[in-house]
Amino acid sequence: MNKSRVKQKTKEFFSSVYSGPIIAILVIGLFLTIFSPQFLKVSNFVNISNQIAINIIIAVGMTILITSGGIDLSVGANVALTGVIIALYFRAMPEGGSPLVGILIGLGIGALLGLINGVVVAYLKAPPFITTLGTMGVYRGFALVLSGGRPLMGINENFVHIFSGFIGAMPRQFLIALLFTGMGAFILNRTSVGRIAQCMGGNERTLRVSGIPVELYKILMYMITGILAALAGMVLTSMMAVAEPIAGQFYELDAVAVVVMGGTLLQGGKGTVFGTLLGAILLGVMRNGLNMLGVPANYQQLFVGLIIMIAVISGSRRKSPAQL
Amino acid sequence: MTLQKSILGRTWDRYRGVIISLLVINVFFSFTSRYYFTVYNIFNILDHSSISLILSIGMVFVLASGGIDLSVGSTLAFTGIVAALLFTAGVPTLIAMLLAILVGMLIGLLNGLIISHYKLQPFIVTLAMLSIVRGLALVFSGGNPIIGLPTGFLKFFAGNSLLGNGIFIAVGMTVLAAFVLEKTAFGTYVKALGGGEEAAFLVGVKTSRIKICVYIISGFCAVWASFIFMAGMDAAEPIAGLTTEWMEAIAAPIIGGNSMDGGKAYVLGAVFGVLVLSCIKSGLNMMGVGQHYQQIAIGTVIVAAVILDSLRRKL
Amino acid sequence: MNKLVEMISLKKNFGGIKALQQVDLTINSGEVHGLLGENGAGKSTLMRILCGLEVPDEGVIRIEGAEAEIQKPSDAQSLGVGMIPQELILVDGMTVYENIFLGYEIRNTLGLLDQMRMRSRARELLQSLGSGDIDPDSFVGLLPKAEQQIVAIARRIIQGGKVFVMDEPTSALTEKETEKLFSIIRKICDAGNAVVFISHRLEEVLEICDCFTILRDGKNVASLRNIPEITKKDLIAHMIGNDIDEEFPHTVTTPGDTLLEVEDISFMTSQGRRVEHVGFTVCAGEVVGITGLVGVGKTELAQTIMGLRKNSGGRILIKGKEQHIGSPVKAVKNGLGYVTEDRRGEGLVLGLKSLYNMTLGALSRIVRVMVIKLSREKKLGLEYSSQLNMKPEYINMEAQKLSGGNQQKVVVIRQMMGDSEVILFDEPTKGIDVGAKAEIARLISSLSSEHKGICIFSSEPREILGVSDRIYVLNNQGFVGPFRRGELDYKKLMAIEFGDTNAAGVGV
Repeated sequence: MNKSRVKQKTKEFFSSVYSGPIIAILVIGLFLTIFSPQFLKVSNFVNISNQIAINIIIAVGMTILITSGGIDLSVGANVALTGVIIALYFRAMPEGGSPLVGILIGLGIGALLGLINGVVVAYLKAPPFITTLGTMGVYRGFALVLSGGRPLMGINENFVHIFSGFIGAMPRQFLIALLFTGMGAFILNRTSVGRIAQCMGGNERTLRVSGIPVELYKILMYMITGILAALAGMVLTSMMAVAEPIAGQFYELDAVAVVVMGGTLLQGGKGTVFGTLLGAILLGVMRNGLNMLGVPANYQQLFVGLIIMIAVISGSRRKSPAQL
Repeated sequence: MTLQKSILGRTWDRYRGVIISLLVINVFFSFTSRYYFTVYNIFNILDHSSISLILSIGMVFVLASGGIDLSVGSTLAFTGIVAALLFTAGVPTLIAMLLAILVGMLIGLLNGLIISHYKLQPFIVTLAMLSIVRGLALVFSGGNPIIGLPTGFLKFFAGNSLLGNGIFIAVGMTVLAAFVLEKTAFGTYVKALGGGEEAAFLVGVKTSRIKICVYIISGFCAVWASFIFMAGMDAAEPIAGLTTEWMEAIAAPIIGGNSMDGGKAYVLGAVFGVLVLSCIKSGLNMMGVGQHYQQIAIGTVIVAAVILDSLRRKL
Repeated sequence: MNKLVEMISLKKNFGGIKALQQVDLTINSGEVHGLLGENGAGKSTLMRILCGLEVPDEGVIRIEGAEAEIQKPSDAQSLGVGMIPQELILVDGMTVYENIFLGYEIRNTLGLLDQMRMRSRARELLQSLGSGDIDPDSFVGLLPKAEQQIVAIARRIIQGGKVFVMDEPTSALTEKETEKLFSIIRKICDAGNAVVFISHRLEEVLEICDCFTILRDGKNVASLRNIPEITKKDLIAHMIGNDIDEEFPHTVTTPGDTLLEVEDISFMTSQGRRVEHVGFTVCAGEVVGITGLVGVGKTELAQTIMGLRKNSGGRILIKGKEQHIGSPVKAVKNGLGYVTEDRRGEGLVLGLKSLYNMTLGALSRIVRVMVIKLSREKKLGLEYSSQLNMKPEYINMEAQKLSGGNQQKVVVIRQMMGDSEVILFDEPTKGIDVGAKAEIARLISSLSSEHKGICIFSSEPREILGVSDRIYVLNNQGFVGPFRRGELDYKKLMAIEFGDTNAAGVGV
């Protein structure tokens, strides 16, 4: 009796969408443990979790957005612009300003940037990827202009403490990332917003015919992504204690990569936030591995690109329902 | 009943928006700086346009087929690095150039194969390729520019005079592209892919082959753009084409009336689009506007162009 | 006269549905061959096989005496067989001559396109078709439908067409344009080719066709020559047969208040025709049936009422108050619900669980502060699915995995869960087996006994007759009705659909 149950559970595991990333993490982890003595140390894991925290925050928003059939390539620029504006605020206030206000400003900026993206895509019916490609340039430009092209220091100390540092042995930013992963998963699976996102990606016409205001929800999706990207920007600014206008470059690629690796379909309709978390861990472990093995930083971009390509191609094998 | 309008008349009809914009821009900038409307600056604009133009011409093919190629900037950088490495390794100039061209076409071939065989969206495939090729550029160059390009090469592309050969190559390719698109069956099929793939398929047109070809063309163009860029910089840079060139390659054709849906192959439109962007850049430079503001401007122009295109499609 | 096409003993199944069961068809050169039958009789499947869009399970096809393997469209093309489908499949952004010569371009000695010759040849060809006024340089997308059709025909001629299969060619044409089309068809046939004419417009079929093949339920029922004695009634009789074996349960409810009033609205069909002066009412507790031939505009009418299509005239009143329904959001807010015809395309999110598809219309019932109460959702799903005899395990399955009948149940349940007071059903039992049909009919009845107003749009006359309390017909002369339940029988209804309004003894 027990044997067949074990068999069934194993079958379920392997056919689930999570099996891929989990197996990959274990295999690579095993490989690295053998070939690199530094890998299996607590300090290394802390390091990895530190590095992937920002990616996770952005990718959670991106997961919901891609599930709804959209995409946002301006998130990296959003990260930079939010950081710059918050830094300007802190510098402008005589006493260094209030961290709470800083957070509110940051969230507001994120919402605004997302709103702009959303309005253009939803009401002007412009294709998401090229639109956000354009807004990426605009937002990045503003980051450069407002900062004069230079990094900005003078970030409020309390603000820095909110987002960085440690709670026990865990880095704060990673815990924040986990928190938002949980929230994101909840939103996607347990709320009406998440349900509508899944429908939008699967068959927008059905939503329309059912009398649901599709455009408004589309804008909401972009705003969620924008807010989370801004949050990531705040975390980054805290971690570095400086706001760089050139920050966030290629963050959008990393976000798309881990979303796709985690099993969310690029065409939309099926999304998993937990999968994205796994994907982020996998990417983090891979990057960490490359570092441990002494592979120069130059190879990393090549690497991420190959990952995206492989993930996208293998994702196409799991055909979306519309193609059946 | 439509009266057969003269060619000039029809050109005006189709491009009047962008032609007027071009005039307005030039008039505006000639007032803001007295150096703008000089022979020197005009040649400057033309010279700098050559790179964008070549990239845009390749993009016209891709857009007409209903696709898009985001990897052209990276291909530009990588093939430049490849050529430079070959140059400095002592490989004869022409052979090195040929190999670089093959590499560019190979990248295009890969793009086309993956898109047509796995039936994936062009933007994500070329986005991933952008990353891969950029990575290759970084790896092969070690992250640093490569100098020491052969003098013959530099002389040919950058030239001594005000106007390098770059612009002539660009114009030549433009004319060739227009010819192919208008006068060959291949050109018709490219447009059919974008405008009515089903119709083309039903009459037996080999749609996947055509798709692969347009991406090869795009890669081919990227290499030539790379040669001109390198000659201008006197070095091969791994970060070439990273900032705005690849976005301009998409924005220019769309400004000129090409559509992301495909079906249209307005080569002259791409030319006008490139001129619009180049004039804006030059004018802003003359006004002392920093590079950063320019980026905002270009990004805004792209968004505006895309909005325009989608509105056009609605009507 | 020789046999151009022989289709012998063709069989084709789609899943469990027997689309063709041993169908034969012979097409001779020089003839206009009418292919008739109700929806689902197998006409389009048969032609799709001939043109290479489907492969038969069994059977032989001979073209000009030689056995032919037709696996894809280009195989059929090279043998001279091609279809001009209802949607025409032209490249809108290209010119007339470019479309005509697509894939068959004329080249000069250098291998380049010889546009001058293509233009003049196109002009000649159009001239010979009596349409010399079509400019070869004009863009196909801008031409009126009738001219686009002529371009499509010209394209087939250039492709070396010997057999022209035309699917509902006259549905978007005026009388004059139809006459022109007929003269072109005659020219084509005089040259030794053949035309297969598929249409529901029986007067036209009688006018142009030399002979008919009539299919019913995937089988041949008649092969007739067109002689003067044959009338529409004869054709209809062959098409419908005598086996009305479908039971549609119906309960009578006393109609209550008028929930929906449609007054004099007009709209454009998807083929570009304008339909005007449509008006009817739906009261609580009654089932109103709106029927007509395929393509007449029923779906578009439903879409106009739901705000998915522009209403270019007239008013819509909900419970006596005029409402401007500009979007489906407004429609739903006003208590209208819509069960679409295209289940897979519009009605369902195929990759989602059926349960989630069901609750889409009733999120407010299972949501509190944006959070979905999963237990409540499940409960609701089980409740409703048992009402419809749907196995409980189906609610957790992805919608695409269900059978057509169950899929329809899911969509209907969505409406039931919602707060709609007036529900529009578009082709509710299309493509569903007999057993499920009866269930859906029962369901519609029970919805009406809950004092909802039901409006059914259907091209299946038996369904309309079985389920409706009142019937309206949309035909080529306008919007006719209402007819009370029992006033019409099958023959009378079909006659009215075909435009013969005197059949029931009622005027327009």
